[in-house]
Amino acid sequence: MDESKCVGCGACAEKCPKKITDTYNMGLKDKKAIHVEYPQAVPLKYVIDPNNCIYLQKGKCGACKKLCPAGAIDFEQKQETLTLNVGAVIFSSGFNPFNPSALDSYRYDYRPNVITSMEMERILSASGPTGGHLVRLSDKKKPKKIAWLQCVGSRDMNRCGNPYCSSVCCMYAIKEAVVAKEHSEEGLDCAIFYMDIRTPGKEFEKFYNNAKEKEGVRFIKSRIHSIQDIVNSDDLRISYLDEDNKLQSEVFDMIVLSIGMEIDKNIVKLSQKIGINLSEGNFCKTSTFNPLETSRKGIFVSGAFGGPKDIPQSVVYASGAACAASEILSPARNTLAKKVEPIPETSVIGERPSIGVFICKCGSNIAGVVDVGKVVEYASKLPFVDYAAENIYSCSQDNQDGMAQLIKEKGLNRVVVAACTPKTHEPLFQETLTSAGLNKYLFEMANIRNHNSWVHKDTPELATLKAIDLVRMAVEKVAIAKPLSETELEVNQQALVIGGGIAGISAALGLASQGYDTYLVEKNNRLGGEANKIFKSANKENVQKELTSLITAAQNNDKLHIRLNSSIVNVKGFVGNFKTVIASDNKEETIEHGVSVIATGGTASKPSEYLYGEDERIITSLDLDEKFINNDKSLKKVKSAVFIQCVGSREPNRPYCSGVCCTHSIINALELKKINPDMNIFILYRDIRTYGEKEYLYHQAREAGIIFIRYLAIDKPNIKIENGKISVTVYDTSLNKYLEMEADLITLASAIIANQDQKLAKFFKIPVNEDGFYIEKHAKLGPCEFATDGVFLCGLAHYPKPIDESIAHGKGAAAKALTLLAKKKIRTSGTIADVEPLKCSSCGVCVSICPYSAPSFIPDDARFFAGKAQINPVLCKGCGLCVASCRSGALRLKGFDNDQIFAQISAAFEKAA
Amino acid sequence: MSKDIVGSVVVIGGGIAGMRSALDLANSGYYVYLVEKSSSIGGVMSQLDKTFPTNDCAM
Amino acid sequence: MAEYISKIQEISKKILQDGKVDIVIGFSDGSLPMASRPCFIKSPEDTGKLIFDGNCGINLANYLTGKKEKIGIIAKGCDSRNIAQLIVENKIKREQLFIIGVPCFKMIDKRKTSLLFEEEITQVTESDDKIIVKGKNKEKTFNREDMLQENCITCMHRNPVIYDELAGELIKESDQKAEYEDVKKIEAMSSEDRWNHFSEMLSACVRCYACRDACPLCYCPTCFVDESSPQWVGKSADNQIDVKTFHILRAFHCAGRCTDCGACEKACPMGIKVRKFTRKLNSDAMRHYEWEAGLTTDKRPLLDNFRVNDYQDFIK
Repeated sequence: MDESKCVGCGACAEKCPKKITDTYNMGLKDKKAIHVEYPQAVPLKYVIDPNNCIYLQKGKCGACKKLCPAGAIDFEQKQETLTLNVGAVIFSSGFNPFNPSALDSYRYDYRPNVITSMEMERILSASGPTGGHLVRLSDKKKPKKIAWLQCVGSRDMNRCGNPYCSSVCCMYAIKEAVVAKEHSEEGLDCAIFYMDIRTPGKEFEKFYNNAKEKEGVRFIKSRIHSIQDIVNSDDLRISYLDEDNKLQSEVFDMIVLSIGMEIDKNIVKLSQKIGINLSEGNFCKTSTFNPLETSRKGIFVSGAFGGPKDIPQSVVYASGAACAASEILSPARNTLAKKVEPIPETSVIGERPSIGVFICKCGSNIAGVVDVGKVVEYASKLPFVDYAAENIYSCSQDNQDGMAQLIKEKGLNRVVVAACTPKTHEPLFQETLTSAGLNKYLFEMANIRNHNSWVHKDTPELATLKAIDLVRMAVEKVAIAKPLSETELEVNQQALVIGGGIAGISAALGLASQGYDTYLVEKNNRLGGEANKIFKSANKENVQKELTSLITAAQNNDKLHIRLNSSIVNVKGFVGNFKTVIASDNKEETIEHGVSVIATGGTASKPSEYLYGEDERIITSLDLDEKFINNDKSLKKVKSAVFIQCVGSREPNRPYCSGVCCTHSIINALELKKINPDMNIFILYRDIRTYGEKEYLYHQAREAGIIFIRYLAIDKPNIKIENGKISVTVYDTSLNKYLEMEADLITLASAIIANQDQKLAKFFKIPVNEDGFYIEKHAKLGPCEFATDGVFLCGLAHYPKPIDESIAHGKGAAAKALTLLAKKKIRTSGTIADVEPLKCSSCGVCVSICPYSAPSFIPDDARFFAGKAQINPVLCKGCGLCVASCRSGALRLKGFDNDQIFAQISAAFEKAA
Repeated sequence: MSKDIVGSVVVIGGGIAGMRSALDLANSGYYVYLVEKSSSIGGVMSQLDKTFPTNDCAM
Repeated sequence: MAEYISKIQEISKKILQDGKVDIVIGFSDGSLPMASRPCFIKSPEDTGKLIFDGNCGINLANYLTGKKEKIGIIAKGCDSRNIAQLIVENKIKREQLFIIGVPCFKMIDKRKTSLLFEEEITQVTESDDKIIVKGKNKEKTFNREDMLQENCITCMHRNPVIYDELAGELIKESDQKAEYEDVKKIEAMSSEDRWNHFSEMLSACVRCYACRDACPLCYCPTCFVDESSPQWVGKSADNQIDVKTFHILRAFHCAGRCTDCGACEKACPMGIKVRKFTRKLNSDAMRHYEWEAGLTTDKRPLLDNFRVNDYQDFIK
């Protein structure tokens, strides 16, 4: 397939006689030997599966080649080997979903109603094999009972050799259960069989609680070893011990195996070949303080290859890896990237509209339904239309060139393209206008494919009429379109990082080491934040030693300007042009900067229960770290140590999980064992959440004889001090009885809380959630930035996280900030909101409602229109929220002006002649 | 110094992480090669239905 | 009632004398019975004109928009809520105001009284639970409770929510939850019945805009009905679609902001129950978001909020 020629029309796949398994749909559907992965695939280019193509195998057929209107089929293509000379490599090879076929007892290969979670995703998806209808595969019946079995291919060293936790399965199983319930009209019973529910991410615990309490998803703590067949039935049986240790047997319509992540064998081989060290679980080996570097210099890691990760984590590490790579390449920045030369724009002001209309056939996509010739004929008679024509593919390069030529030749000053969706193609056509010297906003698209030919296949005459209507509306709108201007704004090349903890230092170093003057503001008298109090990392590195070298690197970087004992007094300006007043030691200085990184961190809370503060033997995890750091001899004498988990976390008044405490307690428990191997150590927990490869620590702890006792939130451990002796009583849920143990050291895993700073939130106009953490731009795709441009987020201010994740997050925020600094100039969009101050009533709806902080009030001391609203064109995204909310009608959206919309509306109701 | 350093990066894998790394690097002035074994980018995320917490379509 | 009046006069005199305010906005006797009218007192000597009775249903917050001077204002529960609303919407600054709070004993419906009395009213006297109405030929005593403005009957906030000084002791508020029975009745209609109901109701409208002008929320420099570029809605009262468009759109502009003070309905010369629209929106605000307008100066009105990451309700 010649990629440059294929236009993605799909004529080839329609006629291809050979069916193959659709791997995108997890084999639940067929596709053709010539195919795209999925309809929205990028790039939308068809490929031939050479192992199944009849022509390539037997030399016959070639139907696709005969049919292809673009002449894109090339059977002679051979595999090529390319050698790329690059400065750095980022390894983000991802993972394979675990294949449960090998685990015979789950009957996956034998029973159609045992499916994997990936298959479940496809079944729930509207684009999936069942069209989004939740049915079981054996008989297409709607299921009434579905079970999810957790940890299939994870936390299992005996049967599949994957002892690690895949981190994401608990959360996706809960999501699938909740979504499945939504799909089902008659009510659906969803049961999740688990060992520990691991929902340590941001807002995850809330989702879990909601699924349990409001949605009625059943959570059953039991690892299911096998699924039993039922004779003459497609149903399946599971046997398990319930909380009262009674044997239960339940029949389900469907069973979903929550499969884990695995690294592809070829990636393992490749890694070994090129010198990338792997971890025990075959993930890329990294260290806590260098979470993005592989063992081979210049090769960085992102995504699940570096350890099981969910989407936001993958995005954080991906941006972090980009920063790490950029750090070593920064001297060569902009040496290879290509730049486009600007073309001068011709003025159309005062000219009579002269509209060119191009109707796209989109191969047979549109022309197969709509009578394109008729639409062209109609369009050519519309007012101000001086040219109308059809194209087979308007988006192909030769048609683009032709369109630019026609604009110049015919002197067209407005263009309508009736084709597909502006979402994907508007920028392309606008570029064509620009290349012809026409303002790109003198353009309108009519979507006669997605909104018309695709949905009205069965009524072609009506579809043609609709296409005519859509074209007429677009012509009416574009006729009164005005050229819009995009202004340019310099981006100040300095950066400000607020918070000098691990995340803040990492972000600041990421920027400073690439040559940007960076101000790092810390409220305390030293850098390092909470990490100053931590003894060992999850990789058992000495945190103090590593932290010292990180701080030294920061101090030695002459582009990094550290301000200790400092606070932010005021912030003015916006993306590219901030002015911040920093107060340090009674003196104030004003820093101008283009980007701001918020890394204000979090802190361990002081427990208000378990007699904390009443006895010096009852301490927090960080207190214990302090003892380790100081080499406290008294620890040697401890005979019995008890750790209590979830102190202040996962409680009604603080519902989130603090994420790091399970691992922290286990590391500390192992450390105590090292000091005194005879020490009795108990960890009282609710769920052990050693996600990812931290699971190995959990194993080690169990092997070291540390005793784990699960307690329930409704019956928490009880501490008594009598005659100087501390005793702990706890209800053991697996023995179903109360246990009492003596302890001479009790460590409380206290919750992590955000360092809340209302003033800062106000200065930067950034939102805070119910738990006190900042709300990022997008929970999944924008974890390192805020919705407000130019403000970035990292570290504990976002959510509790361990050191490696904080560093990755810091670097991720730096990478995002870098993309802005690297631009040097910001170009505003033309389609932005605009205020007519005479109509403005100063009510402030726009200021309040805008998620991007674009509207503000004109200052009271201004000569004109004081107190009225104004729009910052740099921050405006043209979403139109303010325009729709403005009762006074003072706001308008350029490019979607009232008269344009009205023209479209009245055109819609005109009768086609 | 910049003569020795090549201002381009190869990103292996076109899933959500690979795409993000590639975009961030391209947006900061580097020439980026994005290498993907299948015929389209998107990785496993493109196969997911809805995503927590916004219930957005993963696509 | 007499105590209220003397207290109002005393406070007003004091704040004018002390120069705390430049003007006091309150009520004085009207030229006709049951028509107490807004009055603007600038000198301490004139404070004797100030009165307060069951005919002070006009919402005085309406006079605050865009004022630059320091103002003393008499505020019932609903007026105070509209004042709070105006402060949030930047129409007046809290520092400009000296709010004389009047816990409200509920206002009398003039139209209802006139209808029941069936003769020109020449004099009305009020007591705590009775009103005595006199005409040329007869005198009649009504239970106060039966003569109340409709919005006052269901009022949950008779005490002012913000004030600097009170003209009387705070009242115990009703502890019943707002039920919106009137709204439920309309919701229960079929869409056709509802359409006919509203068509019938609005057919009397003469497009005088008294409802708009009486409303403290309607302060736009150019109201959408007066806008000619673009012309959002036709201006004639003959076109019933335009009439409906005006009323429904106006109600939507008040969504999440209306305090149900009743000023619009009181102002309507044709007796149209225009509150039916705003009541529906108030009931929705309560039902879905537990929101009542004007109870605080810290929060923006209900619909002024938007989050890119807005969570679906299945999360909450």
